[in-house]
Amino acid sequence: MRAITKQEEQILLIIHSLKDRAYLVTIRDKLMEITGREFDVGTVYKPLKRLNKDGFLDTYLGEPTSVRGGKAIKYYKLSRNGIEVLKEAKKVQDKLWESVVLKELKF
Amino acid sequence: MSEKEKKIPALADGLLRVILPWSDHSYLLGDYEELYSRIFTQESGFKANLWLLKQIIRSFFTYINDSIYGSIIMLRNNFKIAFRNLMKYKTFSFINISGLVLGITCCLLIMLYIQFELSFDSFHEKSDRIYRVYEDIRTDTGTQRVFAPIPPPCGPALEQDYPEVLNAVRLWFWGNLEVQYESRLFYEDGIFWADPDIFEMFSFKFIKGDPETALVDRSSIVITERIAEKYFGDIDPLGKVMFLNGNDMMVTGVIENIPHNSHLQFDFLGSLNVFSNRTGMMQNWYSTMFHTYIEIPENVDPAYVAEKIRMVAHNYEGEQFAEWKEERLHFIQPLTDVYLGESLRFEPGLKGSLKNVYMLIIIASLTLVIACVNFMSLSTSRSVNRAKEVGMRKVVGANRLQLIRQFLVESILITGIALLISLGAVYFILPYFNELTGRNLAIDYLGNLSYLGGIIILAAFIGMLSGSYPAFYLTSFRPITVVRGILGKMGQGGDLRKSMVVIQFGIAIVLIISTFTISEQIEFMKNRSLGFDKEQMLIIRFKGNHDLSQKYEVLKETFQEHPSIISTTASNSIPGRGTSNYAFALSNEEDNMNQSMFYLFVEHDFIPVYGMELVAGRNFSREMTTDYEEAFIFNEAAARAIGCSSPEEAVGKRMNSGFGRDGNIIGVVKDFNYRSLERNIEPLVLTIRPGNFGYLTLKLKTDDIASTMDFVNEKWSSLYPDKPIVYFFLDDDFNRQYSAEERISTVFRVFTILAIFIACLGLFGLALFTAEQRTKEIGIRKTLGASVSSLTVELSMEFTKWVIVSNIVAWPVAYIAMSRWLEGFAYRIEPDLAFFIIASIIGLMIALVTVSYQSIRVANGNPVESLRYE
Repeated sequence: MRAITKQEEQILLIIHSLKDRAYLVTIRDKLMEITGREFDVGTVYKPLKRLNKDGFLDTYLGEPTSVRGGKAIKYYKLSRNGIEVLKEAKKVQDKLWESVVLKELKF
Repeated sequence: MSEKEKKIPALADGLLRVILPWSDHSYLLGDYEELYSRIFTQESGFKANLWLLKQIIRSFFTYINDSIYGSIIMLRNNFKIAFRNLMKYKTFSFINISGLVLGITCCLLIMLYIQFELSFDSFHEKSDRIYRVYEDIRTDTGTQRVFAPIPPPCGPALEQDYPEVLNAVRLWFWGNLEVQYESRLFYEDGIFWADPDIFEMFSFKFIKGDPETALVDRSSIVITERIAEKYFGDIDPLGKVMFLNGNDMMVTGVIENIPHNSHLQFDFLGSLNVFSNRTGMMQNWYSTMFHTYIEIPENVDPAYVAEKIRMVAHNYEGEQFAEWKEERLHFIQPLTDVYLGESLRFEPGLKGSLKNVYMLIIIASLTLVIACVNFMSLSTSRSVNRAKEVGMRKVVGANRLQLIRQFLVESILITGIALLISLGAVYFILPYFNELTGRNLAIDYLGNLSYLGGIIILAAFIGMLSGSYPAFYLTSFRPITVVRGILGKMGQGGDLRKSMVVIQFGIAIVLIISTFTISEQIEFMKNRSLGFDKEQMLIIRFKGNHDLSQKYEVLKETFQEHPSIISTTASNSIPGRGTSNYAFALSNEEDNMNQSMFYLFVEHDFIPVYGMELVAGRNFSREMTTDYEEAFIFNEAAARAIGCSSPEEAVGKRMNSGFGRDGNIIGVVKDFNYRSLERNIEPLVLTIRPGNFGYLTLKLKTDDIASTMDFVNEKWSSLYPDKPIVYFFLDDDFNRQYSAEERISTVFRVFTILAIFIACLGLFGLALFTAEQRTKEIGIRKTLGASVSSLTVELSMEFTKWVIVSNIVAWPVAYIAMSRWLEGFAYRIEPDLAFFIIASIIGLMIALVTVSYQSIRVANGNPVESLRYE
């Protein structure tokens, strides 16, 4: 199991928080909302596909809707591996931040 | 705002479809649609479009990597399926591939041929700057003669007088000449005399010797590799002395054999300086003798040079020409145009035929069209089989683009296989093709990248062309109808198939008609009465000795000892071989009309021996001593040329000739074709002048030719033990002029047969398919009482009737094409209605035979078999 990048970590967390409503459009919205930056559809699609290929994400299909021109939705959810890798990331993160007091964090 | 307007614009949709990865194609499209419509409703249509545009541009590279990968996977899949289809329908694949192989092979061979024809003389480094000067003599009576050779002093004059002419090289062509080195003596054909700087202009490659000085010495000669081998074997030829033309010539250079694609073909190149002391000849502005080539600087417009040098001869001899009321103009033509250009008088070497090149291009394209049409009609006729596949693919989500791609891949695969087989086939067929066309083509795929590239583009083009119709037609089916099996039976594409049969057989019939007409024209030219006897005339060539001129009477008696040799005569040339022309003028005429006429120097009895007919006056007579010096016999054309309305009127007129002989016209001979029937009969003068005799004619009885020939050989070797005899029959020699036509006729015949064969393959495939489709129908009809014969007729007629229709297209096309072709001949046949009818019948019979096999098979089939599974 490989380590994941910061951006991948963000996306995995967002998918987790979106529960059963996680697909490209909602993921992108949330990502933009949290980071406050603009994301292209392609820029979000790319890591999703990669995470899926590497086994951190599972997909399932939803019903087509008229607003999508009759095309089905591809939903994402965390796989077992995805959850493991997040836990791992959190552990590392916590350890790194352990000794840091936010107020003292200035130059 | 309606729902519909919130959809992504079609253009953007198409673009996205192209760039999005196949695997997530539709979900991603859905995502885009959703976002697009959201921006659309929340903000505005404009903003939404702007956003979409930005997305497409910015995401382009993100997606494109995936797409290419996906495409390759898809393509591999396409090929796999294409190959499976190929194997599944073996008959179909075989018919298709073999048709295409034949078509492509023809095309490749003809492309090779044409490339060779167009490559003539381009191997010279300066080929784009070398021009040939030719002479155009126009009289005020409106006659025009164009000569390839020009007067000897013209070349040096051009070089001196015009700064634009960097160099002028003159060549003097000599045929048949005795060449000797020690004990080796041969008659040689290709002998040129050239200015020493010839190698500065033309890139003939030296093996031995120095190109700059090789021909400077007046008795120097350069020979080809082939000749060096023939005379010297292993000895180094440099510095050796050969005996030719009564001179000792020292070999100063050996060059590579002249490339096949050079219009100048020679084996010996002597120094023109050997004639420099013959000032009378070298300063003569009136005779056309030397083929002259000039080199002009790179940046000078040839049209400008042409305009400037036009009047070069008039600068020197203007007064004389004015007196003769003539204009002698000089024009230039690019070196690379000489071979395929119009044939001028006394061309020095090989001459191609642009007409033949065009005809070959047409035949090749027609054959290829027939092969492609096969492919298209067979593919569409299989549509019933393939329709279900298409339907299923559509149901599981293939879009039309993908399906079209599948079909194109299939057709490209088929053409690819056909191409590979053709490339191999060309290799083996090339020697036979060379024999057919009289060329020496070699094939080198890798060394000739432009040709290889051309081939590949051609194959891709054929594949696309023949695959496109089935691809678009088959993929247009609606899945719901095909899957339910309601596809409109045979009806669909039926019109197309019928029109394809019409096209194919139309082309085949045009080719058959053309083949007949061309052979008939050649037969006509060979058999037409020429105005003299050409059968049973044995010609012996005398060259390099003057016995024929000095001892004609002795030779005549020697040969006539044999009872089968009826009579003999001698002349400077014979019909079918060229003669020169001189100016002739009427004496005692105020306007001093000057006419250029061909001449023939003959013995007294030339006219009776050749069986020619005198229409006025009398023949030369041995009793009249004046006949030796001052008697002319004109042909009718010559009599007309000096303004006589009847032959009788010409008799008795006094003439001055350009070669210094004055005399009376004593007779007029009926026009005879002394040149190929492609040309009209032009003015000709016969006169006695033994000094120039070169041909002894023996008229033979038809019986026992072999013993007569033995006798002739025997006599010759007793007369000239050290000289080989050169003889031939007049009819063979005369008919050699039609060899270009004979070749094209053979090529036409071969290609016609091929084209018909390919068309039949296609028709056979169609019949096979139709029969399969209708097996059940036939079975039911038979159980209901239809007779085998009526069913056979009906099935056979289904396509045969369209073959009949194709005549409507073929006849006018063939008529126009053949009329145009025949226009090139002064003496010609008319396109014969019989050929048209015969060609149609042949086409019909072939078609009938092709389809009847299937028809009979199906009509005879046992209904129990065909209906068993119903």
